[in-house]
Amino acid sequence: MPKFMNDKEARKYLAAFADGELDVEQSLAVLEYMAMQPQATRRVMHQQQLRESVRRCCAAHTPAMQPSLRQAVEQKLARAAAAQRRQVVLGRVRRWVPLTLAAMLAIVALAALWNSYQHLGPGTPIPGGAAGLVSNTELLPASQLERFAAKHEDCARAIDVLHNRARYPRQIAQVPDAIRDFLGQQTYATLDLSSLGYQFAGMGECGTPGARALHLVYQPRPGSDLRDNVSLWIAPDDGRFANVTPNTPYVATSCGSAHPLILWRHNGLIYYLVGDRADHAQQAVGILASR
Amino acid sequence: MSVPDFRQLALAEMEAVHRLAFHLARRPDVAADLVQETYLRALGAETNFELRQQGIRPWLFKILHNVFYSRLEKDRREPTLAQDLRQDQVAAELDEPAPCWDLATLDWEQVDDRLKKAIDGLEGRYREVLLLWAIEGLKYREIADVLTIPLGTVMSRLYRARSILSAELGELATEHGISVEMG
Repeated sequence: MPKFMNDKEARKYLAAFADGELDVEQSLAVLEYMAMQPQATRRVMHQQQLRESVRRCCAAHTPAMQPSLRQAVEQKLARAAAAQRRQVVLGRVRRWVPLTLAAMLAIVALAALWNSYQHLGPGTPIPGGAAGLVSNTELLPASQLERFAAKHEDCARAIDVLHNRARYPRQIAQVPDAIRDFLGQQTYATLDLSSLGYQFAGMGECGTPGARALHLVYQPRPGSDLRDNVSLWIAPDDGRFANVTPNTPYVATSCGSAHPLILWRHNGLIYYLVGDRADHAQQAVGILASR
Repeated sequence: MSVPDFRQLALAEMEAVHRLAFHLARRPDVAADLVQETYLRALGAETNFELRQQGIRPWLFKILHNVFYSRLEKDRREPTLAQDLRQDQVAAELDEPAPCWDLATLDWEQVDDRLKKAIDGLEGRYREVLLLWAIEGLKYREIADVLTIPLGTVMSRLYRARSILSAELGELATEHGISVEMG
């Protein structure tokens, strides 16, 4: 028994040999032992018989699996798999929920901000604008807005193109009287915008927005930092803006327009102010309409 | 491995899982519960499964083993005096050589009856090793993997289980006048 330490060890190895668990070297050692110990062969045979007996006994006493059990397991697996898929989907969605909520909030905030500047309905105040300033982009058609913008650019660039300019005063102090004479309605006591850095450049008759209108042009005063011009059209109030509240300035152009247009009704006249910068245009309206 | 492939493989082993579950629990209703729970756990842990040479069966047995002993742990009560006594008897027999003779000399009906009682009387840790070895034909290493115990422990437990069964059948052989030698 060269490879085994004692009988107990030998019995373990014999059992393992009977079960086919030993490698070649170990099996040879056991065979050598079996050759010397005839009882060992009987033990190996006994072990194999015992295994077969246990297998046979257990098989005989094992009830057949009920088909309903297989069905139940398959149903449970199907349900579990479906739940797992739902969890996976929910997990994926859940990961994006905070981001989605943040995005939605951002969109809502942006929309609110955008709306406040662009899509406000009649009578909606403009935040940060001149007092009482409201927005309504539906007051004037786009074609008319373009005409105002074109006239503003042309006349501010070449003041002499103003129709019948020579007939009208060069001094701002005389302008209200000239307007009253031409339109038959009293305007503000002064239309001076020098406090903003603009000087009166000239005025003339204009076909925009109607047959009888006057176009006043303001340019930066010498020494001023300003680089933009302001145009003011004054026309009789012919009722075309009957639903517009008098003395309330309306921004008729959309946010970001190159030539913002603000109009308002006052004392039988309609004023259209066009500028090159929204903030300057609003300030100009603020000065004029407050008089 | 895809989910359908995995499920097909696992479901093909349900008879074996049920067989082992029944012999562990010794009650058909508990065995059915064990099988269902084993498969549910298997589906939940499918990502941990790696198909090896021996197939999916040992992996399922391992889950079954865990399920069974988790339940047992839950239902555990104080050990009875009879259980303590049986354990002591088993311990006393360990160092004794087991009887050895030709089992074919016995009438199978008598062997079957006595063997069943002996198997049922085995302590759980011995019975489980014996069942995996005899019924399911698992190798020692596979049993060690299923039960998460060292290989040497598998060999010891199996040796003890077989010794107890041999001793039980040895009594039967002696009763029938068959010569039994100690090996």
